[in-house]
Amino acid sequence: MDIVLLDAPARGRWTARELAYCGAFGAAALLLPVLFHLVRLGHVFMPMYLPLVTLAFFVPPLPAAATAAVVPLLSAALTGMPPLYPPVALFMALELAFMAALIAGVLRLRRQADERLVLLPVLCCGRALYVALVYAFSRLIGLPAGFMAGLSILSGWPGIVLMLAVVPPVARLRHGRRRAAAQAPERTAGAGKAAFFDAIADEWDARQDLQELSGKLARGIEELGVHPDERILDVGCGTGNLTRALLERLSPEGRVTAIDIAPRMIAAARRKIRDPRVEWHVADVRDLPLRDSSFDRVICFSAWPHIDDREAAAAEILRVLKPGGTLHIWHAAARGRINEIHAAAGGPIGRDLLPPAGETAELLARCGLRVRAAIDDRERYLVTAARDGRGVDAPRAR
Amino acid sequence: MAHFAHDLWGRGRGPAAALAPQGRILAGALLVAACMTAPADSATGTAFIAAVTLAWAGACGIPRRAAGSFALLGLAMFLPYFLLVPLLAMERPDATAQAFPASAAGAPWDVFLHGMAGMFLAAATASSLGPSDLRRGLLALRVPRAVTAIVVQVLHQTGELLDETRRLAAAYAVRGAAGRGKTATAILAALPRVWLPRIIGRAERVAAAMELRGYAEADLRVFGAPPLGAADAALIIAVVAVLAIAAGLRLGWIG
Repeated sequence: MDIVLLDAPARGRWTARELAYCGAFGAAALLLPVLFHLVRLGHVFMPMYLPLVTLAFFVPPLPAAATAAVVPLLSAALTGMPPLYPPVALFMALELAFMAALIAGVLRLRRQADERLVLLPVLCCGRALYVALVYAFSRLIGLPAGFMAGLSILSGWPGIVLMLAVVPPVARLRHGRRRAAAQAPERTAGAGKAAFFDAIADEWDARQDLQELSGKLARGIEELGVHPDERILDVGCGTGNLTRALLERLSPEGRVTAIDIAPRMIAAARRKIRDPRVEWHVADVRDLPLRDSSFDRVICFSAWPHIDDREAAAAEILRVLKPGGTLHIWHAAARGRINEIHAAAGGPIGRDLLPPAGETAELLARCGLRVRAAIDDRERYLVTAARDGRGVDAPRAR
Repeated sequence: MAHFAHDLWGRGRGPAAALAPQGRILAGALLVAACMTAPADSATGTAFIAAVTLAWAGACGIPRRAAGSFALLGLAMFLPYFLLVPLLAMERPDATAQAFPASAAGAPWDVFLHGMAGMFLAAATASSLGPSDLRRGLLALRVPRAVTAIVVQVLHQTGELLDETRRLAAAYAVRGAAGRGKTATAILAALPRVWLPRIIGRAERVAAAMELRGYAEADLRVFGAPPLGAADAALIIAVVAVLAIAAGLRLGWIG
């Protein structure tokens, strides 16, 4: 996802994109304090500030300042926090609007400015303004002004530190740097996962109830409507359990290409299945050593959560699918169960969570696939999508 | 005021709900101004603020659950100001080691009463407004379209984001981050890597959808905003009178 710094809208009007950003970040600013209070992080981290300060890196000064001014007042009306009296909501609105306008203004002059260098002085100036307002108001109503101002300074610094840590990496996304920034850790994570699966390759089948699994796979393949002559790509084949079930379904003309990132998983599968209709590859789904438009069907069985960059994977799958070809993201258990298993396993796969079927469907649609079904029930998780070309038979979406 | 607030607190169904939305918004804002203007250091002022607040909360029919939650929140936010009494008393010439002068509690009481009143009046007004009421009301009041568009967008997307946040929270729970410390740390760590980038992704998708439909802030229209009727006019006149009384109390002309 490349994010571009937004230019001023024509004729002084705000663009739909600016409004969408203001809405999304404004909503985040309303919700984040509630979330922080729920986990008792409280207000010391100034959670409302985070999204609004970040927003200033993405839109011009006026929308940024207007959103920053509106949200604290809206939050005061909806949730009672920050209070309308003492006028904390108003002071926050002024402080945030000032900071947002300043950040967005500086970035309009110097687009490549270092985010931290912009942020630090602006945050300090904003806090100074807030403290001055608190001091003046406290004097006006007879509260100990010095004490109240000191309290504001003391309670503000954790939030400033958090913003300095969190905002710059997110703000950098506007340069479209996300992929570059993400690739290095992703490679490391990928290598970690390959090692993890290599380490358990020999005992993988012993952990499964293979008889039950094979029944589930046969029924599932039947339901997917796999044709005997198809060319099928098995993504994340592991020790080849799905591959074997597919071979039972396919005719002598049918073919399976099975890939996995873990060499020892592939080796275990090769030992188990000696069939000329199968081709094995140690490969990453984001970079397939396969020709364009070469598969009738791609099945990603029990592997989707382990893929770090799912958009890249979907794009690559789209490339190798024939027009009209079908992709199935499939698990033979409920999403909650899958996530529990991964969480319990810990290590490099402990955070490999299977997203809701709707979210996966949305991602596939974004990548250019036509979603046909998204099922997420107690028995299975199945998202079916097709490359445009011809229709496919798939279970109905629920 | 919107799905989010109604999800959270429920919807007010008092007699004020029958009035035009712009009338409700204006009345709510003027009543907040009136209560902030009225002094809290006299019995008359205190009674005035309490009566106005209760009357408007009743008129808007603020749900009991919301009223209870706001009362607790208000106590939690404003009672700590009374901890300042010793500090304030030390500045008074009539303070002794045995007793604080009652005047030392004046400022905390002012904060407490005005704070509670502001919170309840705003919440009551918000509870009486649906999302479309709000948009129509703001536009009819000639609030700048850009501001109205932002408010509408923020409220609309809050509901969507709430669902996403619930999913995120569920994911933390699945990962075993159920304890306070673990969950808090997980949330802090997830902010730059997960939450905020997802907000950007959401904004991009919404922007694409809006651009596809050719939507912009100038396209906001007042779809049949009801004109102010006799009841609305009576309410506004009454509220202006309340504001005048508050000013009179503040200036010492009344009470």
